[in-house]
Amino acid sequence: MTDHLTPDTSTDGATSAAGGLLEQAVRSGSLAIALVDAQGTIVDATPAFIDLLPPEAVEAGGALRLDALFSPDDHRLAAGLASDGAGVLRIEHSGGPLALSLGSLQPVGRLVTLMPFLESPCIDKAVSDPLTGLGNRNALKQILAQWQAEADPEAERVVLMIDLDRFKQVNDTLGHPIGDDLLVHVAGRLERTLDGDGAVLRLGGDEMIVVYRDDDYPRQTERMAQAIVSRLARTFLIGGHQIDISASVGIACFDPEEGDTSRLLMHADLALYAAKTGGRNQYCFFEPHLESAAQARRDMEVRLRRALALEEFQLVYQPQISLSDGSISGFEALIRWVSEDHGVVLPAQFIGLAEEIGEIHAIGEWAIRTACREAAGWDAPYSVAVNVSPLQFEGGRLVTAVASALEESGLDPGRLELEITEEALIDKTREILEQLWTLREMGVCIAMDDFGTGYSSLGYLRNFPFSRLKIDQSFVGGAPDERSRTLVSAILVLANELDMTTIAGGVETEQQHQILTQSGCVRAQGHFFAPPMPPGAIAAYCAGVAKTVGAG
Amino acid sequence: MPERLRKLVYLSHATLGVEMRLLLPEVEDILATSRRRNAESGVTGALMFNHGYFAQVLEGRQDALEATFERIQMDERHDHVSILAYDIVPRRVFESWSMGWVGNDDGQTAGTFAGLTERVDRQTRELAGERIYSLLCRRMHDGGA
Ligand SMILES: Cc1cc2nc3c(=O)[nH]c(=O)nc-3n(C[C@H](O)[C@H](O)[C@H](O)COP(=O)(O)O)c2cc1C
Repeated sequence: MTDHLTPDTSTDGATSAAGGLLEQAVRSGSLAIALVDAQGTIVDATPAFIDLLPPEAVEAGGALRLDALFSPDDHRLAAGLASDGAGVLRIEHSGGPLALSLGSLQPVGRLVTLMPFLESPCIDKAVSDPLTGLGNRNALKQILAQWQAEADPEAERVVLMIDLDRFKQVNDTLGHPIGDDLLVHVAGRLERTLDGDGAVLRLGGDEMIVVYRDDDYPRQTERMAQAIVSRLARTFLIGGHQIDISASVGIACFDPEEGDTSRLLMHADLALYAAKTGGRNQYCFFEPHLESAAQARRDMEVRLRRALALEEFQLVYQPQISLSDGSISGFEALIRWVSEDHGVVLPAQFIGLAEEIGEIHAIGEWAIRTACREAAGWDAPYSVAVNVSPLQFEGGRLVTAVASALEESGLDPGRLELEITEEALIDKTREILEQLWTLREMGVCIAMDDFGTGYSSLGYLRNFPFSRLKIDQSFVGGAPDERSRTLVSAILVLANELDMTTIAGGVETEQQHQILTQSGCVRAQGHFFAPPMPPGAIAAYCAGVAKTVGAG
Repeated sequence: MPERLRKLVYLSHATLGVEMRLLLPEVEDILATSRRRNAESGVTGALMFNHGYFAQVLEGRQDALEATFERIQMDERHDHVSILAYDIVPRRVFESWSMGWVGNDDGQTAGTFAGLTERVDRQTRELAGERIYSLLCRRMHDGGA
C-alpha cells in the first residue's frame, strides 16, 4: 500500500544533513504524519498514518483521500481545507477518538497529524472530576457565584449533601478499583434521579452533592431526597460482587441574604451529620438548632481533648458482691469526667464523642493503667473490672497497653477483668478474637458486658471462652416480671454449662437480690449494695462489709 | 481476559399493581425492550410474572450483565429487587432466547412465590433461587413461552 507513496525528495532541494536525519526518524517512528495537497489528497504519509486510514480511503487511481476519516455529512474537513489557517478536529475512529491536527497551508501542502484525543486537561479537569465526569468543587463555586449574582424569587435553591454509609467498608474489603466503580455507579444513579435539572457534583472521596432549584419547596426536595435514599439503597452488581450500601442526605437552602456561601455547605453538612447520627439511610433538613448543637459539641470536643492533660478524669468503683455470702469479690471501675465547665460528666455523655474523635484510645489506656495501679494498693486481692470500647481493639495498642499497665502496677493479671460489649464482636471479629486470646493467655479475664441487649448471638459465646457474662440491668431492674425472670434463669443455665461465671448489674431492691440469689447468679452489683465510690472510700467500705458479713 | 459467564436470578415486586389489564402493556414493553437490548449485548434469559412479582434469570458476560442489571435496578416499574443468585456458570442454559417470557398463573408458580416474604434468610434465599431458576428452565423447555 505504501508503494505509490515513495517520497518525492525533489520538492525541496535544500534538505540539510540534519533535516535528513529528522525525516528518517519521523518515517521509521510511530508518529502518524501526512502531507496533503490543497484538495486533501495525501501526497506522502508515515506507515503509522496509513494504518489509521479506512479501506475506503483508496481512490480508483490509487491515491489516498483524507476525507475518508470523516463521515460523509461531516463538513469540517472541507471547511478547514478552505481556510489557510491551522486547526484541530476531533474525529471518531474505531480505536477511540482521534485529534486530527491540520497544519496551515505551506507551498508544499499541509502537514496533518493524528493522535489519540485527550480531554483538554486545562479546561475540563478544572471543573470536572476525572473519575465520574461529575463537576467538582470549582464547578460548585461557579454555581454558587451564579446563585449569588441573580435573585430567584420563584424558587428555593437547594443543596443536597450525600454521604455513602458503608463506602469505606467496600473500599477496605473489595479494593479501591471496585470502590471507584461504585462511585461511578452512584454518580449514574444520582444523575438519573436528578434527570437533567440541576447538577450532581463530586467534592472528593465519596462526598457528592446535588444542587438544583425547587419551585415547589419543600415538596420536590422531599421527593428528590427520598428518591436518592431509596435508589442508593438498592443493590449494586459490580465486578462480580453484590454490593449493598445506603446513603444519608443533608439538605440546606441557599439564603440570598447570606453573603458567605461556605455557610450553605456547612448547613448541609450539619444536616447530613444529623441524618447519619439519626440512624443513616435517611435525609434531614438543616435546622438552626443543629448549629447550636454542633457548637456545643465542638466546645465539648475541645475540652475533652485537654481533659487528660488537665487530669480531669477520675475512676470511681462500684462493689461487686458475691451472692453466696454477701462478701465483696471485686469492683467495677467507672470513669467520671470532672470538667471545669460542665461539672461531673457521666460516660454516657462523653464516650461516644471520645470514640468519634479518637480520644478513646488515650482515655481507655488511662483507665486501665489507673485501675491497675489503684487496685494494686487495696488491702485484699479483689478483682477490678474495666470497660473497654470496641474501638480500642483497632490499631492493636490495647494488648500493649494492658501489658504495661500490669507491669507498672505489679497487679496480678488474674485480678484484672476487661468488660467488652457484644458490639465489639460484630465487625472484624477475627482480629478482635486474636487480641482477646492474647489477653487471656496473659492471664487477664474477659467478661461480656450487657449480655442480652444486643444481638446476643450465641456464636460469640462459642467463638471465645469468656470468663464471665454480665447480665444486662434491663433484665434485673424495675419490678420483676415473669419473662425477665425466665430469661435470667436461661442465661444463668447457659453460662453454667459453658463454664462462665455470672454477674447481674443494676440490682436495686431486696426482692431483685432474692430472685438472683435463688436463681443461682454468682455475683451482683447495684445501688442495693453500694453506689460507685471514690478510691479513698474503699477501705472504710470494705471494713464495714467485713463486719456485717462476719456478724451474719 | 477470558469471557466470564454469569447467571443472575432475582425476584422483585411489581409496582404496577396486580391488575392484568393495566399490566400487560407494560410487560409487553419490558419484553420488547429486553429482547432488543439483550440481543445487542449478548444477554439471554427468561422473565416470569406472577401475582405482583417478577422473577428473572439473566445470563451473559459479567460486564454486559451488570450493565443490564443497573438499568433494571433503576426501573420504577418494580422495586424490592432481591438477588437470589449471582454465580459464575460454565455455559448458558437459555442459548437461543434473548428474553423468554414464561407465562403466569398456575398453582405451581403461585406456590413458588407465595413462600417468599421480603426478608428471607440466606438459606431460604438460595433455595428459592434454585427453585425459581429450575422452574424457569423447565418451563422454557416445555414451551411455556
Ligand atoms: C422486571 C423487569 C425486567 C427487565 N428486564 C430487562 C432486560 O432483561 N433487559 C433490558 O435491557 N431491560 C430490561 N428491563 C427494562 C429496563 O429496566 C429499562 O427500562 C430498559 O433497559 C431501558 O433502559 P434505559 O431507559 O436506561 O435505556 C426490565 C424491566 C423490568 C421492570
